[in-house]
Amino acid sequence: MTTTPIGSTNSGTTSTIPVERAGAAPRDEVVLEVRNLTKRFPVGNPLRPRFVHALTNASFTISRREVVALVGESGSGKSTTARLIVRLMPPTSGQILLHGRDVLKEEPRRASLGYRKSVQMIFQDPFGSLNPVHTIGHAVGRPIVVTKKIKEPAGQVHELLEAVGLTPPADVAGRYPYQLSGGQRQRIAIARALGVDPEIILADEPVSMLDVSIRMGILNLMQRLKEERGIGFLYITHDLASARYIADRTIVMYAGWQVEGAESKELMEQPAHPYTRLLLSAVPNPQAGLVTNDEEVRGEIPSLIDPPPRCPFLPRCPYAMDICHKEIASPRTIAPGHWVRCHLYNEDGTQNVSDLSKVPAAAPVQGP
Amino acid sequence: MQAVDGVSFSIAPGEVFGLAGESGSGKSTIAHAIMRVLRPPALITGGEVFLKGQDVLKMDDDDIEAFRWRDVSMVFQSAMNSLNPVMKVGDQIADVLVTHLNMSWKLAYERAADLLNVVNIDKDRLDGYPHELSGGMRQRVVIAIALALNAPLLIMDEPTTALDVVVQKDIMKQIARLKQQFGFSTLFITHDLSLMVEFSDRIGIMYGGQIVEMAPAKEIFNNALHPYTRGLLSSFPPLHGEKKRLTGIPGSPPNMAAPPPGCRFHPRCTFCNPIETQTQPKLREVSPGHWLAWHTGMPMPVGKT
Repeated sequence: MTTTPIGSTNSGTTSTIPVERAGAAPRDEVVLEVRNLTKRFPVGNPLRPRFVHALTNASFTISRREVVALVGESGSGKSTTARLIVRLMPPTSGQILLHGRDVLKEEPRRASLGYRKSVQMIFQDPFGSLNPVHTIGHAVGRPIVVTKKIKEPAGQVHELLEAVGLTPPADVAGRYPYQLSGGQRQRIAIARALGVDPEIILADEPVSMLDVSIRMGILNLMQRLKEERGIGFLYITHDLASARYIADRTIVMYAGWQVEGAESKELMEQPAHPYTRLLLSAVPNPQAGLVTNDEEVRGEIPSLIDPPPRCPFLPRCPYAMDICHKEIASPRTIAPGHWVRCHLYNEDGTQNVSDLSKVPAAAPVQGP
Repeated sequence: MQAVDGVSFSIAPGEVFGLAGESGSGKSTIAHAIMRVLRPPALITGGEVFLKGQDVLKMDDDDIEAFRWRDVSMVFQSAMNSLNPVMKVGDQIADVLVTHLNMSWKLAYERAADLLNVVNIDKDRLDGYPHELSGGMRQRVVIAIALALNAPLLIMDEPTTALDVVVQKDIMKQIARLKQQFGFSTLFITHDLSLMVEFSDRIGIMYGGQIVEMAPAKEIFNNALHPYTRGLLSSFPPLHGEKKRLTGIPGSPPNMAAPPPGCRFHPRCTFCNPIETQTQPKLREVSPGHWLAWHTGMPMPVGKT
């Protein structure tokens, strides 16, 4: 892609990622769908702008009672995706559909209260997301006052605090954020989001800043809310193991592109894209110990400023072929519900090369 | 407030000793105490740190100045931000050599190029500034500086926590290789137990400023005894095998200004006997090389009344 064509798209890369329903167990209805979501940020001289391609052609769906994980390294576009969906900033191009309605078209200038009620977000830093001068009761009650026009929400606040496991609620409601631990604050953030009865919660690295021992508590809470209230989650993380633990489906992102997506278990067991394989092999494996002599894939995420129209993983890829220099592969389905954006696979889903061992997937498990 | 309380351990030449625990468990305080970089109001109220038989805590200011970096070097947690942003990378590496070894700047620059080579960074970067490097490269520069004087002990306090997993793996592999090459001992501090088991020879698990369990890495992973260690292990979902529901550890870490009596973990413990709430368990060897501070898990004394 060259310098300025905002909104224009490259041939061969526009096709929507296949809807990942076929073959999988029937699920609840799709609540949120994004199609070809793209975001570019201008940088440098405003007269001759250059663009950071933060996100290109992101497409996926979130259903009721479904957790979709976005995993990738910093700078891969995970958080940009969430910020676009919650409409903290407008996308450069693409569509956001809530129950099939194109919200960007219907509410072009700013999101309506109705949309904001349906789609809530939880941020990474529970220390920065609560106003220190207000009590917990006020923080949790405020969204209810605004959206439901209830003047005295104390009853609802107590219910919410109990729902996120903070007891006794009357006591917690009277406290200030500084009196709570990180894990408790993240529960408050979830309670605030729940207050407006959302259909979708976007959770941007909700446990990364928390102590390891309390992370599982928050993940289990999300799991419970999914099951009991039917909320759909977008779980953004760099931790593949936690994505496998909580997410029904996982999408891997690299340099602003979605490169592979599948049911979480299938993705971790049958990784297809060389980057997914690299990512999985880098997760510490206590059972196997540190392997120091395997082949290395060097390098880091390439510059996102006006990148050339080639596969973003090319400079690090041990399988690079001629075609990879020319165009970015369109997503191709290689198994039911499993797609990958890589020229190692043909359009019909068959594999191009016989040996994928140049990037080891995670070391085999020994013992039980 | 007592941040660290009665912790003892030793590190053999060439060994990697890991300290794991939650934030506030005292891991970093120990590292800072060894380096003697604790600032008032922090006080070391008791204890000894021996390095090759010399008591670090009794050294006078001149000795400690020389001791730091010559005998112990350290990589701090957000080390990539500990580089001076207005100083060229080469100057920062050479500075250590000039200060400690009275090297000439020219020689120091040549050695700095070697060091960058060791951590796989092109020597052209000597003329660059830190902001021109990525996070992973900056972290490698800091490691190069830590290796500059071949100190026999390298302390790494969460060296890769701020980095992505692929970069983390790369750096840990490099450190492992350098360790084989130079034979230094390592004190490795992290909260990521999987990484720790993968990288360390021996591990001490800290809770509330005390070591509650200490054993070889494999033993900790396969045969953890202390409920806190087991809780920590169950806080990391596995990447393979059956999906199991994990619980983590309920509750929050203790308030160290008023630590709970008895076993400090007892308010969060699910296997708690009354004795744990009253007397503090001492660290004892329960099997060769495996130390434990937990009353309930102690083997019954044999042949004693």
